[in-house]
Amino acid sequence: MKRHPLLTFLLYAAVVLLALSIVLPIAWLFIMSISQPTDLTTLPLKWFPETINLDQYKRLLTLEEGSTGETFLYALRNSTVVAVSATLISVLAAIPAAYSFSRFPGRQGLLYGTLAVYMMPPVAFVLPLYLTFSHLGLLNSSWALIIVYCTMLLPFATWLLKNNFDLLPYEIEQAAIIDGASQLQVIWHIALPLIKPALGAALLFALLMAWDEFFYALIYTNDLRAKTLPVAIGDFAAGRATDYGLISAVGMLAALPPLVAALFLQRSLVSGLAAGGTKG
Amino acid sequence: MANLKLRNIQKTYGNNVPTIKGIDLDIHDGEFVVFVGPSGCGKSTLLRMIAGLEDISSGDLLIGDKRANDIAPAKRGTAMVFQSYALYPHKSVYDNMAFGLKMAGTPKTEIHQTVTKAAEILQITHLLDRKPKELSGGQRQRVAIGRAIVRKPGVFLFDEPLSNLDASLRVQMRIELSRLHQELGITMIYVTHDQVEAMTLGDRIVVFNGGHIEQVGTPLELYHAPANRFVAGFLGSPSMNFIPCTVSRTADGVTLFAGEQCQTRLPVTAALPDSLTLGIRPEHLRISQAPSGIQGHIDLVEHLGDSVVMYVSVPGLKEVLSVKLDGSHAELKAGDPVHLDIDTRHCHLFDADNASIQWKS
Ligand SMILES: Nc1ncnc2c1ncn2[C@@H]1O[C@H](COP(=O)(O)OP(=O)(O)OP(=O)(O)O)[C@@H](O)[C@H]1O
Ligand SMILES: [Mg+2]
Repeated sequence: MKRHPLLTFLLYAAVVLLALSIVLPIAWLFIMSISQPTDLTTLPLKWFPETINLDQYKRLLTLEEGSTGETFLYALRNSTVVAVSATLISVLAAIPAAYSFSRFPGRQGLLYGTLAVYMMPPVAFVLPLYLTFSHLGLLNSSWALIIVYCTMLLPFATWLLKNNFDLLPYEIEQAAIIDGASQLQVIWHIALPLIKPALGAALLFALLMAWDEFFYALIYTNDLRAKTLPVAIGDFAAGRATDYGLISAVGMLAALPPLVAALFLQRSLVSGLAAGGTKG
Repeated sequence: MANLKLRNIQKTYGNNVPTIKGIDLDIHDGEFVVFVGPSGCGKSTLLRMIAGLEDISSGDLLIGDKRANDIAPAKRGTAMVFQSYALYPHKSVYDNMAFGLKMAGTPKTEIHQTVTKAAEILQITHLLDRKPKELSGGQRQRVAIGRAIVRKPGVFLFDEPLSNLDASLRVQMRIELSRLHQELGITMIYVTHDQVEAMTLGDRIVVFNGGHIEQVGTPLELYHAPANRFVAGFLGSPSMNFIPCTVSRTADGVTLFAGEQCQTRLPVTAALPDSLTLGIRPEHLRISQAPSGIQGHIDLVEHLGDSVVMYVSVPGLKEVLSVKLDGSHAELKAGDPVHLDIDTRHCHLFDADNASIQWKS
């Protein structure tokens, strides 16, 4: 089929527009992070710095006591611990939960219940959770955030995985049961490999959600021990004189771990694994 | 190897209407039994109950004389081949076949031997490294059968295994299944919609209808001596003609009367009800040269090459009669008047309850 030239043009224009809207802010962030502070405040604005300035990054990558770098690196560590733990716990728990919701009807009420809770605004839970954590002595610890994030990620991951389990032909699993596989073996050997793309998506989105969470982190943490990156960045921006170069450098570095995770997981995101087992 | 005994097996799903209404059936060791019946009559359900994929609501299932109701599917010594193949899409052909043995903890070398041997029997040795999606329908079906063979089952269960294949492949696979049955000598239960498969494969055929058994017998028994009108109409293609008749007695038998232009004489001595249904297969109606027997007009002629099927409307009869003749009748065409003779040796009589009446002495 031959496409009209105008249509082709519009199509490409749309693609370019989309690409620019994604790339430009990041490019600008990067440029800001390597500019001289003076370059960023002069008028008219200098779009390209004359000299490359890596001072911001040097300031961030140091553990000197009381330095900006210490704040940043601890926040990076806290964010990593919290996001990775919450993601792993949630997805691990979501797998059997989703399978059970998908295969054993009559439990739907529970699923919709968790989703309803998931829909409620965080503000509603902040106070009761705060009191609970305070009683448990968990305030300002990574544990508090891991627990809270699990309550957000678990319903989401369960829902996503359940919908994908629903799509699997049940006969394949019954064949495995006849072959002598136990329920857990069916999940491990048959069902999970077949929903690998969804599993990758669940891991990725859960990680991003936890990585970017700001509200709970702001309220339940207050120093190096537990503060996560979004809160730390917020702190950097809240000073009297905002250091744009520093904030952009933090932004660049904070975006790296999710980027690496995405690159790593995207290979499993290709779909079509289930093709060929059954007629259809 | 195993025999199977079904004792008053019932199945009721949630809605309290029984789907399977008390099945009694004995299947001998090494027998090839075919289940046929209209869609929704419960063939798959019964098969799945035997496999253990479906709970048995009541009754006893004995496999090899042992009550199997509560034995896990993998421990029953049954293997099932699904209509949809149900291969593991992410595993190679080899791993598909090896999975059951792995689950059973069989040593690697033994798995290798068994799978290789099964692959040879099914001629899929060259496919062992492929994934299911790289196989044709026939090859997939072979893998599914291979996966069942390696478990060395006592009973093989097939649920319409060939219905996804095209006609020529079906014939080929049918022959191979037959050969496989002879080679392995395993008890096989085979569900099908295909009459030819049923007639050619089965040592015995079980005809189901609405959750119960209508008749069990060898293919020829069912063809020649159907127990009732349902079985008579279900087997055979085109299906048997049914003509409602009134009976009048004569000195040497009875005359069955179904309107001015349709009557036939039978040498019956047994007592008959006043009205009954005459059943006659299309292949047992003949064109007669004399203007006698049944008179009508040809509605439609189908030339199938080796045979000719014509549909004849007869005044006084509600339904057209189908007639199957050999291929030499090329001259027949729609609209022609025609006289038909009934081969009285092959008449079936059914009473008001649709049960077959034994009239031949
Ligand atoms: N899980 C289920 N819950 C409720 N009813 C069911 C269930 N499975 C099957 N049935 C009903 O049981 C009846 C028998 O189904 P079954 O699949 O055994 O028919 P079948 O003889 O195999 O038909 P077909 O030839 O179309 O495959 C049908 O009326 C069907 O609707
Ligand atoms: Mg069926």
